[in-house]
Amino acid sequence: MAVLPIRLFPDPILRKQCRLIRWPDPELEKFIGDLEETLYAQPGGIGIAAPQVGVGKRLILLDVSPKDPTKQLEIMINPFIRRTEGEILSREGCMSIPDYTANVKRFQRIFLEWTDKKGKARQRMASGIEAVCLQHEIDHLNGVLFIDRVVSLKTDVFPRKRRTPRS
Amino acid sequence: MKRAALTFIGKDRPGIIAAVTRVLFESGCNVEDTTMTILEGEFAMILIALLPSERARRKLKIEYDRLKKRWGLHHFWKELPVQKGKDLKHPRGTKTYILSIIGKDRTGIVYGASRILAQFGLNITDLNCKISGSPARPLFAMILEVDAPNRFNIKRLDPSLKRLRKNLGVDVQIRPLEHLSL
Repeated sequence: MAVLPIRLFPDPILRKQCRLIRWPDPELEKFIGDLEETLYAQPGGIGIAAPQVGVGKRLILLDVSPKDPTKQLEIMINPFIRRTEGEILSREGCMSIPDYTANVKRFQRIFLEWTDKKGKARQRMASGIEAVCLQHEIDHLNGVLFIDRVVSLKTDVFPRKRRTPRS
Repeated sequence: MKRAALTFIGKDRPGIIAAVTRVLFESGCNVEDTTMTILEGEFAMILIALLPSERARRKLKIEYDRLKKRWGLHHFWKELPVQKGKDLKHPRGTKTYILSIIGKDRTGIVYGASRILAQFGLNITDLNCKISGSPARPLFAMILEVDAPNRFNIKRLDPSLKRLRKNLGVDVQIRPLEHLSL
């Protein structure tokens, strides 16, 4: 496994529509391992999408356990949001747009479908922080960045709070 | 080099920002930060600019006095150190909370809430109010963004907020604003 370099805005890959992953994909397993290692190498990082390392495929990784200890690493292939409810405001930052955070309004609850790494179709509800992270990462697969979603008057340009890297 | 914080207030109309920033641009000044809003038709803007020379500073002062006459735009000027301050809006080791208040409009809501935060030494980093409802039954809503040190137990505010709720008859909620690195 390897830590891949994070692509930074305005890298054009961050604005591309990513393609669906189709089986068999011989590179997928290794790529998931690399993406996982890259996620855990980021200070405070709790989610990552394939285009953030320059790969235009519909794959996201999420580990919100630092915020919600009942959760664990999720690997989601071709995730799709089927239904949405409610509203929630959080302050989001993005590894691809360093040192910039903004208050973003998202759906409080989402019902999503995805394929797991064994190729099995999965579906469930997600809410709160997990739902926010999923929406942020799925946006990446559609070339959408959190700054496109800023509805509040507020965008704060200050170095976001750095934490020690998780190993 | 000089840096200055400038504020402008006047009746809102199209073209104010272009008029203000044209002067800066033509004097070779760089806008480093800015924000604006309109309150009841009054335009208000703050900006921080880096001025390349004393000459630029003098030119700005003359031009802004002209703007005052032409646009009725009042301005205020504060010199800043050339080196950017390290005073971050949200210092490290702090957590952000959102305090929201909604209820029948009456005097003392902004003071009542901000006094509690001041008593605990908590800094307000953003404040927005809106009055809605009918003229007969105006409804007041306020959202405050508040910074508290990580070690501060936000529950300490509860008794004071409860009193505020009771004394002013308003709904008061405080909740953490999650910071997510994605």
